[in-house]
Amino acid sequence: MKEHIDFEPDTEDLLDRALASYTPVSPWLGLEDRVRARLSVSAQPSRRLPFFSWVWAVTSAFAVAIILALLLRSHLTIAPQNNATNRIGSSRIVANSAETESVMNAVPSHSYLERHSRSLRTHTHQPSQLQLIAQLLASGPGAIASLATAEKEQQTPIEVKPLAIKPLEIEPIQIKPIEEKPADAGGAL
Amino acid sequence: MSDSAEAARPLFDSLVERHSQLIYRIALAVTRNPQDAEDVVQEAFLRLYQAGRWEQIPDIQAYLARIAWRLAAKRKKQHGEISITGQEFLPQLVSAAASPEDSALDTQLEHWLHACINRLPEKLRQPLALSALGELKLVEIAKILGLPEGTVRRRVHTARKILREQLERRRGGTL
Repeated sequence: MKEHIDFEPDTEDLLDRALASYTPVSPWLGLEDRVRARLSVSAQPSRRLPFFSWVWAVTSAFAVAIILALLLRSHLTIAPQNNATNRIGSSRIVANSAETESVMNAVPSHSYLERHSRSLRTHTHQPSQLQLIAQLLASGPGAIASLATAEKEQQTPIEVKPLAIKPLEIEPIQIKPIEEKPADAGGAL
Repeated sequence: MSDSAEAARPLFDSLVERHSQLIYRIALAVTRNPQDAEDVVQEAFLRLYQAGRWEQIPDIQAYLARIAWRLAAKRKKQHGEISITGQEFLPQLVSAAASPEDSALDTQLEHWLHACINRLPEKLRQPLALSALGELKLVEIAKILGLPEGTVRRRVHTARKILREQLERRRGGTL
């Protein structure tokens, strides 16, 4: 109230009037209609949303596929040296495949794999687990199958069976008397 | 838009009828530009409509006022200084009872006062302009501005004090 006394009485009145007239203007005629029209128009673009969402889905799927392809490619090109080794190993497999099939029952398959992996180790100087898996995959499905059977063989204990005793049958020597009639010497006179 | 939103459209239209005038005045108080104020009103109602579930908002006027104020403040910041001094509003202000001489003097003073209000810092001008609308309580203004009620009261008081001092100085100088 002190401030009101300090100022001239009509100062406050004039200030109030100035403030009241600060934003007294009504909007241009038809503001409500324009707002409604804007709302009607704005409802249309929202129908396009599904299309854009499809575009986004397809684009993101495409991007993911590209990333996966790049990752796979980078994994395959980790060690080109290993690929060369794989080729050597696979050629050995091809060369030995006939032999392997013929003696599959007699020769345990894991021994072949052991030999194969040993040869790989000598070529690659302590390869990583990933590289070994890659090599195994490159060797073909036969190698994986043989590895599986090798595991089975390792799991089953080896049974030691006694050898079947089968004595040799020796025919007795028959002694016949020497005939007195000398054999024809073939030399006819 | 969903079917439910389309069904609620008549209800929303009545909302537009009820609140558009006040929202316009709030926007105009901040932007001081009729075209910008109208754009703000349209944008505010559009945002409310697109947000959905507007029927569940308890105080829709305060909500709309807050959106409008934000949009107007943003627009004001983009456009910079207020270009309109309020001169075009003045013919409505002159009282019919005053003599032509007094009216001319009052008009000149009010014009000058509007310019003074426009020159106030925004943190003082906006609470003052919103309180000058006469339709909003201090609590509502505080909600719109996102400030405590005491802060709004203090800012309005400070703004009025500055204006009074300027007015006194002018009158003392001219008289």
